[in-house]
Amino acid sequence: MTPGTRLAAAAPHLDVEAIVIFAVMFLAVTVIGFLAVRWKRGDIHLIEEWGLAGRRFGGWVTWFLIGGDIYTAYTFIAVPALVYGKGSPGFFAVAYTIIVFPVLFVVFPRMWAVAKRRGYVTAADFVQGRFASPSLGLVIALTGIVATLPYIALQLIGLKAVLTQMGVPGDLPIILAFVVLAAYTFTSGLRAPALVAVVKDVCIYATVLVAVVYIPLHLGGFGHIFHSAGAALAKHKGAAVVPHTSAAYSSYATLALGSALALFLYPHALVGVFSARSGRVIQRNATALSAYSLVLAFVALFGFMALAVGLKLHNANLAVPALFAKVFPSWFQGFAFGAIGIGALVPAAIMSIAAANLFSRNIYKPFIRRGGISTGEESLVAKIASLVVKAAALAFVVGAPTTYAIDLQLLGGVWILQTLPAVVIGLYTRWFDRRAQIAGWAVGMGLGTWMAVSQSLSSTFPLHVGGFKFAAYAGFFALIANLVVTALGTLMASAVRILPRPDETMAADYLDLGEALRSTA
Amino acid sequence: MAHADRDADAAQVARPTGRRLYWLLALPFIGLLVPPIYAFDQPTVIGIPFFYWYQIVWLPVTALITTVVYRANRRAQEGP
Repeated sequence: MTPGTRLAAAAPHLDVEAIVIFAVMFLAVTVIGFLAVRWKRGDIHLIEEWGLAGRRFGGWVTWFLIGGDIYTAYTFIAVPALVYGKGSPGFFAVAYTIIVFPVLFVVFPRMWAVAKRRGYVTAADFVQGRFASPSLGLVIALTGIVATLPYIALQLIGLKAVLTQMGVPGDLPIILAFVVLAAYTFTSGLRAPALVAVVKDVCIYATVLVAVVYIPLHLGGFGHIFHSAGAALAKHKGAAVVPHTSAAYSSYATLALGSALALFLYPHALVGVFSARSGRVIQRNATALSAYSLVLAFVALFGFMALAVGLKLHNANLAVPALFAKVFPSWFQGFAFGAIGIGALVPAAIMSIAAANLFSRNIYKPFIRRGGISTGEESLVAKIASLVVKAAALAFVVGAPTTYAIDLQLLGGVWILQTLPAVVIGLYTRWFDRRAQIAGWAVGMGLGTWMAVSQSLSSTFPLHVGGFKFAAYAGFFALIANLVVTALGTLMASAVRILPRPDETMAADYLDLGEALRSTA
Repeated sequence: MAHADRDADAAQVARPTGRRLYWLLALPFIGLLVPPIYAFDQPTVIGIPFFYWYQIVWLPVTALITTVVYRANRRAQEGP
């Protein structure tokens, strides 16, 4: 990605045909968003209804919802952009979205079960209850919100990339799209993005399947694509079609592992988990979601296709839009860009709902109102917070250079990984002391941020120990430091006999009782 | 400690026979997190270098593994 390049730099001519199709798709989705409030109707004035749609989503909706969450507009822009710029390192996204499924399968039905039994709406709710520590809950909530904000901003950047390609200038269309999105998220809550996600994915699947068959035929096969792309990549610094150095291997593996562990710590991914009807729905989805990863693998290959057609772009984020503009007729471009545009709205809505739930439940309720609020106030605060979060992301995209959002999102991944000890290990044991966890979190946040910043915001850090060099994901190093500090702190706390506070949850809460309750759904 | 007892009880309840296959879920980690075993150009499939199609093949394999574990798990929970 070229730092400092504004998307408008490559503005082509106005493509009216594509814009009309794009606009029609947007309008249809807006209508769906507002009507969604009637779907699986519940009392929308409760936060469990507004923010989790009453935990009633079955296999299909959960599939679309988590799919819409993870495979966002930005993913479809950024992964091929990385492949376009660097070659093989960009493909780590495929490895990571494969190994995330065993993690989802084993760990998150447990999280679902305890959340259902105890009425938890956020990961911070769980941590607060498990360790009887509102302060630890606050730390988890703040990390979630701060990691989510740049992610929302990036969805806007994905939307901006396709608008730019169609020749639509300025920030007004993005502001308009976000105001509409904010309005129907406010009224319909999680039901809106869940329903829109279905439309979005039908369009995305159609686009990607057409492109992955048509473009290679058009370009003379994958052999030719990789050959031309290899020649083009040879001119890029540090790029390769296949990695060959030990630093490239260890960076690739730790990025894949760290990202897979981080993914379901993101508040928006957890919304998808919590809103499922049962733990089994989540386990079945750990299989079914691999269809999305296959699409992602195809999308990553678009980066090579963009190289093969000889695109010379200042802004790598335009790799896919420019590739499509080069090979497809206007009407199909309109459809494809519409799919990517809607693909920006779904995760942006879920992310803002997730951040809003955190604010209302884990900051406003325990620290501003000191516990005593009605369910109606809790839900209203979340609704208003979802507007504030979106406005902040919008202001960021309009006001700050694109690279800031990209850099912050990279740091966001490092940060969210630091909640793993409390959120994931906490599901299995409460051996870790609550203050030791806050100390470990602080060390992990500090070290990870310093490592990334010291490498001018690159995700990997070359660690030198003696004569030995080991390059790995900054978040990975930070997590190890976090775990070491947390463990040492816990040993110290038990040495001075600081006893843990009582656990709000019971062992039975973590079992797969969802199926027993299924008959009530 | 009362708390430790509760955890021990839960471990017994939570570990039905279906979990015996859980080790299968470790395979994708081994297959994908050691890049030197697959960072090659050749052999290619329809022109795609080994590095890429090898990783794509892990997708259906992982889906199959989670399906097998899920089925075994359910059978064990539902009993004979």
